Amino acid sequence: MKRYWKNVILPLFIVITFGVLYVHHAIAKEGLPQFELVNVSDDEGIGEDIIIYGNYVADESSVWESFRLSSDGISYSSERNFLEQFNEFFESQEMEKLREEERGFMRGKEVDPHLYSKDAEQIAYVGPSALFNDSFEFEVDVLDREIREKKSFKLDIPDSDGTDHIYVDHVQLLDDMLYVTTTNYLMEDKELHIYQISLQDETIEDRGAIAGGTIHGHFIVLNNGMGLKRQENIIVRAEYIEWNEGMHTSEVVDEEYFTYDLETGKKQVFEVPEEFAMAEESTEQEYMEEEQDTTEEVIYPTNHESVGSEELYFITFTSDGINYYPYHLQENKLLEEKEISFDENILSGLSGVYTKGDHLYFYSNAGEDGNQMKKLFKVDLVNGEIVYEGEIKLTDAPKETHVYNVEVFNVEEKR
Amino acid sequence: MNNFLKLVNFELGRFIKVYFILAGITVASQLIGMALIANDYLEMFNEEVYTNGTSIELFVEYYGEISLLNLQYSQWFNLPITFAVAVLIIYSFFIWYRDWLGKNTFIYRLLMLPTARINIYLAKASAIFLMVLGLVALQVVLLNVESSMLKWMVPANLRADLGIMESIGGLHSGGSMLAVIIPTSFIQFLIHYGVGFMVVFILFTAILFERSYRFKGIAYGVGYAIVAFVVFFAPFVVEIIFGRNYLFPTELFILEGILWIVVTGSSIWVSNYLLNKKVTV
Amino acid sequence: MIEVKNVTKKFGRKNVLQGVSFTANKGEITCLIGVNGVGKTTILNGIVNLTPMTSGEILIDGEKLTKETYEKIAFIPDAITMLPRMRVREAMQFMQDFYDSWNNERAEELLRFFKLKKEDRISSLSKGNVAKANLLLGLALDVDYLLMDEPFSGIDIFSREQIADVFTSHLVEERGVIITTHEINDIEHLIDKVVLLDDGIVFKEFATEEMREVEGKSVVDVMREVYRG
Repeated sequence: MKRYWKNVILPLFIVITFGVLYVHHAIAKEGLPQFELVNVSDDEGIGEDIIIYGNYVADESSVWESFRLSSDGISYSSERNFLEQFNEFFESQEMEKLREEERGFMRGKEVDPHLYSKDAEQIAYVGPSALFNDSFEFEVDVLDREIREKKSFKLDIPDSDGTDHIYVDHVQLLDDMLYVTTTNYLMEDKELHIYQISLQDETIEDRGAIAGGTIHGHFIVLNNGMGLKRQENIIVRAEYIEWNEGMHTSEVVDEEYFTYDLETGKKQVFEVPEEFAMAEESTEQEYMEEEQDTTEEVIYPTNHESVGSEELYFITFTSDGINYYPYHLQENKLLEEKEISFDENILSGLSGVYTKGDHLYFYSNAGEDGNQMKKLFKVDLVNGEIVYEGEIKLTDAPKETHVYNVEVFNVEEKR
Repeated sequence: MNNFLKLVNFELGRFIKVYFILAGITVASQLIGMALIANDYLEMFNEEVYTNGTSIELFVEYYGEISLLNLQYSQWFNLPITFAVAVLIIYSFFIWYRDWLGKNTFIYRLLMLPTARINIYLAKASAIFLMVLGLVALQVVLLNVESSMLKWMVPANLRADLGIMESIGGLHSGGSMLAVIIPTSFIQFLIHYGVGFMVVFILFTAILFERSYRFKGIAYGVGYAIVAFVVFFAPFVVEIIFGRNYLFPTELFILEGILWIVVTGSSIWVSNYLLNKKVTV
Repeated sequence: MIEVKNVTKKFGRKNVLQGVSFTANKGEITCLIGVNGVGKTTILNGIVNLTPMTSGEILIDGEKLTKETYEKIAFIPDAITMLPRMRVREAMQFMQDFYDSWNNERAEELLRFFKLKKEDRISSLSKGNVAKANLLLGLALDVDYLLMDEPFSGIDIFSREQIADVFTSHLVEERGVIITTHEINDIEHLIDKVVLLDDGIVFKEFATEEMREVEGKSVVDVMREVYRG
């Protein structure tokens, strides 16, 4: 038997070493800390509904691990079971649910939520998200969830001669009519188009550009972040940018916000609150003046927009707190400015703002050195008040000299 | 003890000296490397702090804390790994050809053993697997030793104590082989070594094609390897060609698991056929 | 009985064996004779499935070869089938590990007979001693059939005599032996049966004693007839 030591020692050494390594890793999670979202102020159990997507980062970014944190506790991406690990970790709940419920329909489709639209009976998909001039063709797929009937057809995109490529920005299903919003890249220009597709006739009923500018500009469909629910309007921020060839710089020459009623085709340009517009300009100036010095301080003010159920909010973070202007979409008028002030400490640590319709979440790494407070706030934009304050706290004892950071990518509400 | 295990032991024995030398080089190079790197860091510290009067905080901010990563990015660490990998890859060929080449007619003996010939193939494959995993396990132990060394050499306020997995997880863009050979999750471990061992089986089958049909066999062997890889990677190839993912990730994993069994199984089956019916001394 | 039936073998386009048939009985020494390159070694390799035959059939005691057959047939090639770095002792141990038919007593006896030292490495042995060690590893198996490929080639005269002595001893008695050679002189008196090969076929197959008694010819006489003829 002695002659067979190689057969015994080597496998034993391997099994023990890897066993200890991975079992230890699995059990101790090698110091992945346990966090908890602790309510600081909350009257209505709001904290129960919040899911935070983020990264735990430590030791000069050499250790990082994605997590989901909710009132149910923290789950790290590495802790998921065998097969779960193959799924997207940061996928939105809405898309995850859709994929689970309609596996057949979702098969072979891109997961980008803005390619989908849903009403009471039907789910519609128009893809792919990027079309190139070798095949300008929409693939349309509609599933009636009641009678389990699927309709699939392809449509050539007409008059695409001068077009180089097309991105699908938004898909909306309104009473058997599909409205596809695209950004079309022409040679020198960029245009925002709407294609109106009749599901009955399987044809493009109507189409046309609703905005256009140079190739350097941007069109941002603001209600893309609203999920798959029915929206009759799209709300767009258009940035018109000129490129200065000699200076190699670009300059925003104009910016407008408009709403476009998909059914009536009515475009309505908003009046942008002056202070909001100014705030952005001063941000840019300050940024230029600081010569991109990478200080950790957040530069104020910063602008955000949020599309609520009735209003569009122009939001500015200033050194005192939040200033925001609700714009009533139906009545088409700017409402009175609202202000919420915060402690300076919280503002200086501001590191993430997430708009969710009539709510706004922001995350702040506030704190004096060493003693950081990782706080999450929820603001009710309709009533102009902070409805929730929570703190992300370590629940297990921190290691010695434990320098870590919690990055937040997104905040979702449980549905 | 059955003949398969005897053969594994025998195959290990034939390479054990070189194997120990490989292990020795790795241990020596990495431990020396760790000592030198820690020493350099401390010298730098002494120079900056005691000679130039820099504050400790500023020094740490500027140079960073020393950790296992300093070692893992160095050639003291990576060269012996690269060397060992290269040697084991070459030996995967040589483990067969050494029985045929030169004056050596040991293949006569192996083929005339009163045991299924596929045991020879499986024993050679197992020997390679054991040697690969043995070296990787040694690396795991070494990382622990190196971590202790660092604690012993460098004061706590100048070092960042990383667990093994933390230090490997930190290597994301490092171009280091460590994250490949010691994946941070067990499932990744299974995937890496599952694919690795499948490749060894395919390689062995290709070698047996060559040994059976000689010159023509090279073409057969290369052809077999190409077919095997195409089959195994077919789902990914299809996705690239059509530009869309027809399978959800979980399904893809299960399908790949099945294809792994198909490719590995057919490699063993084909090898069994070649060894019994076609191979020639 | 080993039956070789209409065996052919091609190496590429070259037909080495073109339908070889003969039998070798237990208790007899059968000698395959032919000039170099005539395919003698190929036939032996074919019998123990070390190289596939293109067509034909080989039966051992009426059955095709399986892995168990290696317990009752031993092939001693013209070079030693052990790793050169192994000691004689280790080579014997290897055989004992894998073969049920290994007879350790006989191995020890052969060791004494050939005056080999257990601790010597095979790579350090003289040519004659390597051949003896090779023979030892094959002869110490309790097998029914022994195949030997050119056991005398390139070996000094004293070793040759020693090896020839083996054939008359109990070490070979009762077994069926197939031996190949291109020089018959040393062992003419030992062999029971001769298979003369030429151009990939069996030219003549005869029992030596019968040939002597009936036609009054020795093996060498027959060969002379055949090859000069």
